Amino acid sequence: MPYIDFQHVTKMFGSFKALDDVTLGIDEGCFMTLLGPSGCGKTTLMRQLAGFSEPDKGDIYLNGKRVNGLPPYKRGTPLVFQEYALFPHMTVYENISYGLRLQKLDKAEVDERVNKMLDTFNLQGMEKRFPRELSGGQQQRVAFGRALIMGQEVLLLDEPLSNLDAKLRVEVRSELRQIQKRLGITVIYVTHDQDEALSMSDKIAVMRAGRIEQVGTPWEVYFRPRTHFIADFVGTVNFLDVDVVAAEQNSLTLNWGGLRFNIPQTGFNVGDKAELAVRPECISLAPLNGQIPEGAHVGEITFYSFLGRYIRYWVSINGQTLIVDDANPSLSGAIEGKVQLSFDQDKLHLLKKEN
Amino acid sequence: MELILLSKSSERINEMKRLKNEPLLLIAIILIVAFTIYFVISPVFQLVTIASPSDYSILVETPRWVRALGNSLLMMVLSTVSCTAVAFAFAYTMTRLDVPLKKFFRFITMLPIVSPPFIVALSYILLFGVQGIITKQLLGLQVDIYGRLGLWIVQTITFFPYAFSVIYGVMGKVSTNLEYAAYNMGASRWRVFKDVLWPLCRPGVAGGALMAAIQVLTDFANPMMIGGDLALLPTEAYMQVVGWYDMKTAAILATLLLVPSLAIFFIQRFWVGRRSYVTVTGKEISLKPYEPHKLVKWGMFAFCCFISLFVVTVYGTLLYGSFTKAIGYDWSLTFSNYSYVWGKWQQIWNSIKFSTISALFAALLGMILAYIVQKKSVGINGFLDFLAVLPSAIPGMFLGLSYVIAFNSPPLKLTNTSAIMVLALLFWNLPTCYSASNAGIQQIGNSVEDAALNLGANSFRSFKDVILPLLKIPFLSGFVLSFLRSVTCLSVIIFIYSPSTATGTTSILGLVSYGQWGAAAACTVVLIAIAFTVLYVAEYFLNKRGASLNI
Amino acid sequence: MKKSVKLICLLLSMIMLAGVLVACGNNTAGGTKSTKLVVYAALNEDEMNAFVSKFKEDTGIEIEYVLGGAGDMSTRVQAEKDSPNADVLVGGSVDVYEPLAKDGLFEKYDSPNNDALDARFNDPNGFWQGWYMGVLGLVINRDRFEAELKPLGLEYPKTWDDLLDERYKNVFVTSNPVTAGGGYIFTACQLFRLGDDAAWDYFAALDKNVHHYYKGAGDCISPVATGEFIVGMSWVHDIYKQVKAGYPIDVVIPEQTAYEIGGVAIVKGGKNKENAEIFVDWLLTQEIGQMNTTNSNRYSVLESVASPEGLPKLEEVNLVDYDRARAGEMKPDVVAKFDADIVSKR
Repeated sequence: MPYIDFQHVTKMFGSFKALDDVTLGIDEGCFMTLLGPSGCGKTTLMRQLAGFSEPDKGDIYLNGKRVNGLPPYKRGTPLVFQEYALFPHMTVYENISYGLRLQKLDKAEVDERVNKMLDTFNLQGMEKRFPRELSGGQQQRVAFGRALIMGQEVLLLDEPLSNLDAKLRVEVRSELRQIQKRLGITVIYVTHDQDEALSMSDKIAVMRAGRIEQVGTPWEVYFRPRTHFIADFVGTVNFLDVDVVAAEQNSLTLNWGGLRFNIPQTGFNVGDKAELAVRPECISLAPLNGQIPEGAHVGEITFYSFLGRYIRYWVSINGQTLIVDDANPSLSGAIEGKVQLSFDQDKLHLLKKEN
Repeated sequence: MELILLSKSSERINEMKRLKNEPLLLIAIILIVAFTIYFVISPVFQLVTIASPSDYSILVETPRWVRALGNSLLMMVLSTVSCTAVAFAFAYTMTRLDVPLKKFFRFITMLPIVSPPFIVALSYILLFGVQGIITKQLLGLQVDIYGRLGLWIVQTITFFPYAFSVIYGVMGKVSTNLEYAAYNMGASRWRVFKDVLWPLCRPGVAGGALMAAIQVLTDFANPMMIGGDLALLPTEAYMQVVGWYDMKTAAILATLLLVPSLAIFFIQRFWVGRRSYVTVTGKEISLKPYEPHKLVKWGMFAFCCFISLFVVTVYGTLLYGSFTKAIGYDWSLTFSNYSYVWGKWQQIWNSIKFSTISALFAALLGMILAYIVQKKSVGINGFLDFLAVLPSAIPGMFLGLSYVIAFNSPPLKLTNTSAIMVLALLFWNLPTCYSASNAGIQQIGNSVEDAALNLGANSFRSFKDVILPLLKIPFLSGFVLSFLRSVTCLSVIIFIYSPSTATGTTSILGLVSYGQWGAAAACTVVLIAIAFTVLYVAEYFLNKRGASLNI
Repeated sequence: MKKSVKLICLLLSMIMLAGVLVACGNNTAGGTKSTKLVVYAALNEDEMNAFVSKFKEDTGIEIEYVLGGAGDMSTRVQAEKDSPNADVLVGGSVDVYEPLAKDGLFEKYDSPNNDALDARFNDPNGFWQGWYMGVLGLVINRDRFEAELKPLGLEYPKTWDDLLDERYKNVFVTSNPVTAGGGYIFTACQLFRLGDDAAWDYFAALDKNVHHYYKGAGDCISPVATGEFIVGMSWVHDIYKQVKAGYPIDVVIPEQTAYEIGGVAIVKGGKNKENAEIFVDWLLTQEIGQMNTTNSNRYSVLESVASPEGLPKLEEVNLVDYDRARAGEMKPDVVAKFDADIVSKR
């Protein structure tokens, strides 16, 4: 049985279905990210576990124990809030130690554990400060300290990085991941930021309109999205409308306005209309040298944008504009004019056509 | 955030149904609603209906009441315009100009609010009357100050601070960045003022104007002193009771006063309120304001200085006069006025007692209401909010009169008790406390209570450890504002005090109408001193916690 | 999860409880023993306190009292019609007593001590008893009068008609009969003195001199005392307080002045009727009359009581023949006419 288990959880807000029969298992020690646009129910799902609201239907298990109906203060599911929710009238020390003090631990032990947290989060010397006297990053670390000091096996994180500036956010990602690995705790992480999700998670559950659309590793979600929505939401993608022209045992042949693709995928029949998801980095460009080889995919660069570690090209081909990333820009500048496109056919992913 | 998407009515019903699971919250709400209906709506209704519809025909038949209504409305318009103009000048000078004396100006704008009635008018007569120190002794003039003009000037000085506090609050929150944005696009100073600052301040100015308007409309003391032959509704209603013991006519006149007052309330709530661009939690001014032309700047400064000088002179005269033998005649020094006031200590003590008790409960009730309205979804949040601010639509005098009628007989016979004083002041102050608490509670993040629960505090602990300490400041500011209003309030209690429950302000009324101006001045000085002591002590505590009072 | 609400409830019930406690704590319970007397008094507190201690000393009867304005006290008596708390209503003009007497709220009582009084102080129907008297008079600022009016050849006015002299223009103030009881008594006084037509001519003529009409009868005293105006019309006992305060003012009581009679009456159905009668008799003794005159500057109805210090004797005061009943009847018309013909034309 998974360490955390949501079984057919449904939650209504009036006539609005915030969670629609959600089933999700999370293994012990797993870093699980709930990813989705705002309003998809990801925060609601997390809050059912923390006990801030009760599901209308379904069961929630934590470490094998059903927690429905248990008040939030008896669940042991420390949560770091998006806006941190630090107690503005308490000092850093008081904030971090609050949970321990509720357990009536003796002062020496509280001090020791608080100091450990202060060390972990580089907050030494700030014990006496009030939250309003801290920078955003410091506040965030206090919030982490306050949650982690409880020594629980679980940590819930509700978009904790969204109030930090971009550089700090990237730094904290890896720190957070390291801490999680070191402590071996199970984390549920809520975010709408696909970079965060991909970079930190063991597993990602992509949510939409109260339902989970896909659960998988970052690789699966990125390269093998189950739906158009997921492909589009997680990263940048080009969609090509294709027809299946041949179905072999282990591969499919696709036709895209006269151009052919051969991909190692199954599950489609000849004559199916489908959608091919192509990530920008799965296409490579080569300047055309005079003659055009038979069957080559030829396009014309209409625009580009230099981003340092790569160049993004907009390439017009077959009446459509594809986004192509060149991860190894040359020193001399961007390519211009007509180019030949080659596709990394292993990484192309064929999706069923949705209505 | 999902909640926003919901359809309203069915959701409301569901919220109300959910209250069944929280019986205590339900009881709290029922109690609050019952209280407010019993102590605000029902008395008002009883007062309005004490006279039968046919009795109201005296309004048409008695030209004097028609004139009184006309005069009241005219003075309201005149004084409101001037109050708003002065208030705007002060607010602009204090938020947008780099001039000295700002702290002093702030003090000037608080003084009239924390002082009991009559004083400005009284000093004004001593300064500018026939025997006036300034008009006669300094300038050798013989001027006639009684009537519309004198009343206009005095009301402007007395009530501009009410408009100021609103306008100042709003203008201070309009980010100067917006003005810079306009300059950046090539707008001249005048254009920036006209196109950016003014439109953004307009809701504040309107709000301030309405605030002043209701004060002017229900002003009783100033017309009494220098209104001359001018008949105004509040004074006429008062005289009907004390002069002729005619409750019915007084009730009719008071009802006449209620109509424009309610109109102002609804304009404020449903028109101005919805046009506010600036939220309470708006950003602080981020850039130093870009100064206007020097002439404008120092012109504004000079204007503020002039008004301030006027206010200081008025209060200085009062202060000095309180130490003289016969104010206005024999200016030699004596403490006899203060020993007289010392003899009336019981009444000053009543002031303090009633103000403290009523402010305590008003702040508590206001805080609880604000907490429920903002942090709980109970289906009738809008209605509770409306109830909480409703008393501000009722002129103090009207509320007092309605208490006399409503609580004069069983089941709840309260006339001549301390309870009626406390209750009237309590409900009169409820809107003040409620808005003060609202501002504070808005700043409490939505999740802190959840955070405490999450860390293992049960509901009681989380309320005690987190919510209560955070409510301390909203509570304190509500308490202080309410206390200040009560200590200096006359209109509410003028009909409901009895000799044993007489207060500082009613003594002032008595002293003024028996002509004992020196003692009245001393009594006023004592009340102002009490008010300022409380104000400064509270500000000291609030400032230490990074909060401030919005007076 | 909302135990927090418990606290809210607790606090709310505290509010309610406190309200009730305050309410109860202040109720003046009516006594039933015969050594008690419950008095509703429209008197000033110092005056009443003097009565309470003196009455106890003289008769051993304990007074419980509620103080308030005359209107307030009469409203109370009216409201408690079915189960009266009070035994006696005392103080305030008998004009206030008349309607209550008509409604049958008072007990008839003819005190043995009232036989020597002038007939106007005794209710012909026997419901109320007059025991003190307030007189209308003029307050004059001595300094300004001597500096400004004396050089013009004026002396202090002796009659109401003297006020018509145009040299009083804009230095005379009085009160508005529409709003002030005293102002109305002044108006009625002129109507009785001069007859209808002449009186209305008088008001029109006087109006030319009036700077403005104050709303309360006492309001014009201080402005005269501080020299804002030179002459004002008000109650003599109120003016006299200001004389004592040291302002340079004099009191003049013009001929044919009007007056109010301060009343006392026994409330029908009161529990201590005998004590109430003792109180009324006691009030009409020389000693008590003197005490009240000293305390309040008001004239006693008893000839044996000396007039307030510094004021002329009552027998020297020339009173108009004031028809109280008629004054009450014609009030609405007079007030309306005064407002229409005089005040609204200013």
